[in-house]
Amino acid sequence: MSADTVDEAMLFAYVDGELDAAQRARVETAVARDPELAAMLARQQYLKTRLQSGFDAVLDEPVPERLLHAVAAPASAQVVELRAVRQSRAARAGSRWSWREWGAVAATLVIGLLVGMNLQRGVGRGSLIAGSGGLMASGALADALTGQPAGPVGAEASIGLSIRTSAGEYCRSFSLQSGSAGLACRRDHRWMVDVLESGQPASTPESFRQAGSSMPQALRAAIESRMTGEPLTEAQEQEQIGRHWDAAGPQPPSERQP
Amino acid sequence: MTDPAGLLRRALPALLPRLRRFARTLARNPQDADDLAQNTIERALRNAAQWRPSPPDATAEQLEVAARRWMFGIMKNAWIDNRRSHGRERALFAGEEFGADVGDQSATALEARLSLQGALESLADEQRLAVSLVLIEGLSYQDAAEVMEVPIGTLTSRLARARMQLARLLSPDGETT
Repeated sequence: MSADTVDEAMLFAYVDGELDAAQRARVETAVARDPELAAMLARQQYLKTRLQSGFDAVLDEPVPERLLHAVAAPASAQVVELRAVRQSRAARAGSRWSWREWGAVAATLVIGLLVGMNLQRGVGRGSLIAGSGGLMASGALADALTGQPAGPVGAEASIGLSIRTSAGEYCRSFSLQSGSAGLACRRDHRWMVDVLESGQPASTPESFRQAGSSMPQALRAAIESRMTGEPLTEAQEQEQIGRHWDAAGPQPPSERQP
Repeated sequence: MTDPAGLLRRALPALLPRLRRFARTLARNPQDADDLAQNTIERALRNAAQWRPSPPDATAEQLEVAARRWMFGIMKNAWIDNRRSHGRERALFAGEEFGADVGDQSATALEARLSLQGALESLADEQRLAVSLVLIEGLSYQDAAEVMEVPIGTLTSRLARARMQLARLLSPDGETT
């Protein structure tokens, strides 16, 4: 390519922001001289703008609960796509699957079912938002985490127990009206939801309840692995409620202060 | 000290809006798009241990870019798998489904979206991916080529062909170049 010709590929690269300053200047000079090239550039820029504006609104939509759940699914929970389950079932029909493997599939189906149910019932509207650092409690859940003592008192969210982690953070377990439960930890003046599990609606048939009953165990394990010492007493809890859980124990000596 | 799964978990929530947008450019309607996004997240978390963010001492920003590239790659694979297993039979029902959940949009906005969707549908799958990644998601050629697992030259030629077709379908005056 000679120094002053601009081909289609280069024009496209210009539209896509892939050129360096010298190359951009070359395209701009060529476009100024060549009306046909200018028209082509305008068409391509219009196309790109049109495509982007057609989809940009998605970025401002609230993220559906089920995706927040998917992100927060405990690492231990084996989430298997239903389609994959069906496929492998078809592929392996007759092969030697142990009862344990079948059990895993059954449990997975239940997880899918429960997530689906929660989707329809709602998990406490607006109680979770996704941010850069993770899932964050908001609305009624955040209020309960900050100001509500442990016990089944909240209309929308109940607090289970409050713990102090080995890292010095305060965490509180909670359950939502929908049956979902989780663990939120106070970090940078926010309640970050580290663990979230879809709950089981009370009307779930017996067989499903059986498989689903293992789920809170993952939450219990998460609490146990974080906790140092005993859960907070009622008095300690009240003290933290009074200070909004922010002044986490004795402040480390500050070296920067004069 | 580097725990890829943990890093990914932390990076994921911030990526959700863009994952949803990428899915929306690929799927036929908003429900399918969120299904695709959910499927992608589940796959990603299952395979999180395989994620190798580089460099090992990456900054937060580099991590986010790496996580996005990885997630987009998984979404691409999930979408392609889905296309293969479902074929195109669902196209028959698309109009109805799509119309059902756009309720409060103005007629003009809907028309524009539908024709955008129609134009994207008319592209070959690999051209559509190139358009979504570069023109809509704004990835660099390098990043988009990595997501698609093709050389940059392949990406740009797919993109060029797609551009010509889209310009023909979508330009306001219906010009052919």
